[in-house]
Amino acid sequence: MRNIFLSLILIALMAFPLTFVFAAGEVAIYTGITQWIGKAEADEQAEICVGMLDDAGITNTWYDSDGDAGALADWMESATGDGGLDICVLYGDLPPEIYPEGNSQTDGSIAETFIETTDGDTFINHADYMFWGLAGRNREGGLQNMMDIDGIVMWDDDTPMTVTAEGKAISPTLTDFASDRPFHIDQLEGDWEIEISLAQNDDGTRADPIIVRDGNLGRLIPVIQTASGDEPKGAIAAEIIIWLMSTTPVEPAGKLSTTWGELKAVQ
Amino acid sequence: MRFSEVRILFVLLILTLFAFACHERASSPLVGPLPIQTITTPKDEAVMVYVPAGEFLMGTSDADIEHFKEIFPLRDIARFNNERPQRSVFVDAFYIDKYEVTNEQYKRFLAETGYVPKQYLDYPPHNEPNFPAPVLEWEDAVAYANWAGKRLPTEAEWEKAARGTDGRHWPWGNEWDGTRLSGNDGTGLKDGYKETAPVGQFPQGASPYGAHDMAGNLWEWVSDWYDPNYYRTSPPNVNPKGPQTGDGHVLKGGGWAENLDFTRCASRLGGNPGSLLRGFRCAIDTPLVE
Repeated sequence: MRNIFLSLILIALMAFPLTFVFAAGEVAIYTGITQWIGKAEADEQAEICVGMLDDAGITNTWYDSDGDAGALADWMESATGDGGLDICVLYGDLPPEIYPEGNSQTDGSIAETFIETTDGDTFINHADYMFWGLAGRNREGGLQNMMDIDGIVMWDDDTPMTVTAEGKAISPTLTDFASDRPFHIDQLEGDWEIEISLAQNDDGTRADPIIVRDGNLGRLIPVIQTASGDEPKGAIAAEIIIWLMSTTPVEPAGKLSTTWGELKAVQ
Repeated sequence: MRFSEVRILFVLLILTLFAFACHERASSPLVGPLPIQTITTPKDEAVMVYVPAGEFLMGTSDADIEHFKEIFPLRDIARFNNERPQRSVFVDAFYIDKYEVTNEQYKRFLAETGYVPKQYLDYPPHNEPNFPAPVLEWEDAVAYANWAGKRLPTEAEWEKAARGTDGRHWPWGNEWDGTRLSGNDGTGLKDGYKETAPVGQFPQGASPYGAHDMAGNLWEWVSDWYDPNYYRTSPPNVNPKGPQTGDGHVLKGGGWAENLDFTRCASRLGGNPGSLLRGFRCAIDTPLVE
């Protein structure tokens, strides 16, 4: 019995560092509807992202059909508040299944609830204006409602982005480029703050990619918001996800205490 | 003069000639204003401009790419691969709508036929009568063209109507000028319109044949299927009609919200990329009206 107990202790100690390698979260990638990037190009980038996440051992699900939006909504509801860092990657569209179209639910949508827990759950967006919606179904209101910041926009074509030192460290694939829908740092309000700016303009008012966080709640990460699929969006997103998950500690309440509790029960 | 000095002068001469050669495209003379011939078609009361038969430069050359490196320094050059190589293309004479099809025209078509479009954005701020009709599905544009007794232009026809014969980047010339097109940032601060603009508001940006709004406002459908590699497959140089199939249909001209490099005449996009607001203009063969 004592040997069994010691073995369990050993296994627990071996598992301890592993739990810090990746937060116990998952990644969902949606390319069912794409905007400012063709479906084929988005799928190509998503495939690259999936491959890199697989190699890193990060659990991920790729929803590649427009009929998958319901399944994405189910995934998001189950991931919300589960104690793990979960990340949803969009290619320019925010499906109405998670954010009712026309800003008809300005608060409490599945998408907004997803980023309003201390899990730190995250939206990554490529290509078009974040949360604009197909054919402008949400327009500027999508981003404004999701962030609860009136007036925040994502205009400014061709804004030069220079990779920061942090950006180079987190995403070796990222190079200087021109963003068409950069994040407007100077419009952040409330508890929203910059976590890491990976690339930004000279005066530091626009950034892309950037990780912004709502206090200790969720995050938004615009990543290469340009029309077309020429830039390595998928690889850069994967590098950011791997970095984010590897630096986010697992909630002790959800993992280690449970392990120790089970050990004590055995004892 | 010593031999070494002669050699230095020779090298300088070569370098000067090389510099001129590198800037051939940017500094080559543009064809001046052309006589503009128009007709008005009865069904949709659209003014059309005449584009004579002949050759023009279609696509993007190596010299253009060198120029793009200067004017779009942070753009991945791969973005322009689907426009290469440039080639000389002959198209028969044709007429093309002077303006993009408007909401007024498109709604007349819907009223007369009872046609139910798959995706026509009939809501503000896009649906004013004299604004270009945002017709997001290619089939809905073809249906209108059929009703009007017309057709969508081929990509070659569209590009010739936009840039003329001298290979210019934009309908007005080789230098970017944001005052010559409907292109803004959603604030209305650039051209006075928050998003799209009424057709024909920028006559200073008209093409050599007198077609308006061929850069900016709405992306425009053409009849060709889209294949990014099509130009590299040695397509026909006489009245090309595009590949047999592809990833959606070609969109040309850029839109109100897209960056300046997409508004070039040679720019081409496929794959039905979501939220891009697109419309169209029609063409007809000349024998039908002559």
